[in-house]
Amino acid sequence: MVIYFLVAFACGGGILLLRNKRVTLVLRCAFIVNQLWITLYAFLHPGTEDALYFSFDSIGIILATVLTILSIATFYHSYLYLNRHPTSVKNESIYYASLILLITAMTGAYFTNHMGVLWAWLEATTLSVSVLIYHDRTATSLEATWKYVFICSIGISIAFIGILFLSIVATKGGLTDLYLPGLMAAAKGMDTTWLKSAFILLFTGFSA
Amino acid sequence: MIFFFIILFAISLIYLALTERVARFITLLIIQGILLAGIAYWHLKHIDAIHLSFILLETLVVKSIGIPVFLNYLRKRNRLNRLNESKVPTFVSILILSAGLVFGFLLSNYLQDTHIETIFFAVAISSVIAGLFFIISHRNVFTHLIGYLVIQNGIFLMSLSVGAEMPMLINNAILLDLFISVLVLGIFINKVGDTFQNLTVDGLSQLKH
Repeated sequence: MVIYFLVAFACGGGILLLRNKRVTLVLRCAFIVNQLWITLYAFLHPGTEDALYFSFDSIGIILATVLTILSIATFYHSYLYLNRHPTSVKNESIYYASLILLITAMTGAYFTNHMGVLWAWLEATTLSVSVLIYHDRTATSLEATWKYVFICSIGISIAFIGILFLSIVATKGGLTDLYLPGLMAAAKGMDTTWLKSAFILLFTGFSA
Repeated sequence: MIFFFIILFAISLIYLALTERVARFITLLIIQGILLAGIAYWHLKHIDAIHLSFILLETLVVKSIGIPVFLNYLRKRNRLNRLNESKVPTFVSILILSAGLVFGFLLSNYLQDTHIETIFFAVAISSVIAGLFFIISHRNVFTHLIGYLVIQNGIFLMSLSVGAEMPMLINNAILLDLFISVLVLGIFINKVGDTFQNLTVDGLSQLKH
């Protein structure tokens, strides 16, 4: 996962800083290869843990496979869209860098096995999607961006309260961290009032 | 001392409903930041010095200085002085915020647990309710940001009531959330002001048509 994140951030950062059409195309292709590689790696190593906060569980592998297929289609469609609606090289670079950050953050969220890290990746998706929505820089895109950013920020805050509630249940269950396998193993003995409250808050917050 | 700070914090939530001046909202956030620093110091003075310094730095430098300076910049750039745009009369707002406080105390009493500090938890819940109500009852996007920061202050207080076991993890997360949200929301407030000439949500309704 560390190599995947390093390559992804290098591709995104390179696109953002170099702002050259040819280099952007090469880095986009490099990112797609990187995305295919991590999906294949996860598929070949199911159930293994990686880089302290990540594990390749079945749901994560299925979701990452769907994301990878959609990512290739999205990059192709973006290429066609930006050719039909030409924009400045700067805006195009910002668009592709944000798209790469979004796909990387979603991959990180799918494979993480820690609630705190999951929350941080979702925060990153909010940031990257806000830049993508604002791409056209029109009054309507600004309105959409403002509404998206504000609702998501409130949602992320509510989810954070849910994580705090979950930490109360975890502490009562003798856990000292928020790793998902530990939480699932201790779930049967947990206080249901706190657990249900945490679920409602997490569900509301993350679905916003 | 700690209870004195928490009661002052609760009073500051009620005061939110009384004021209309933008500068007062910002002053209120500075006061809340200082109160949170005091509460954090008295509550966490037993933890190691590095972690305590980090938390105090977060509350004093970020919440009491950094964010208010940024909000003041936004206020001056968008020429905001007085916001008489609340959809709810002041008296009703005070009643609702007081009811929020009572609800916070009742809920924390109902959930009474050895792992949470009841009074912290009660005021934290009230602060989240007050922030949400503040957002719903105002039409200006700047006051929405103020409401969001009140929610964040409530979450910080809640983290103190429950998160004594992992204060660094929780405070890093709160800091990350604050930086990203305030900066991104602040940037878009400026863009909304430039595009729509004012900061009321009335201009932000084209997507409905």
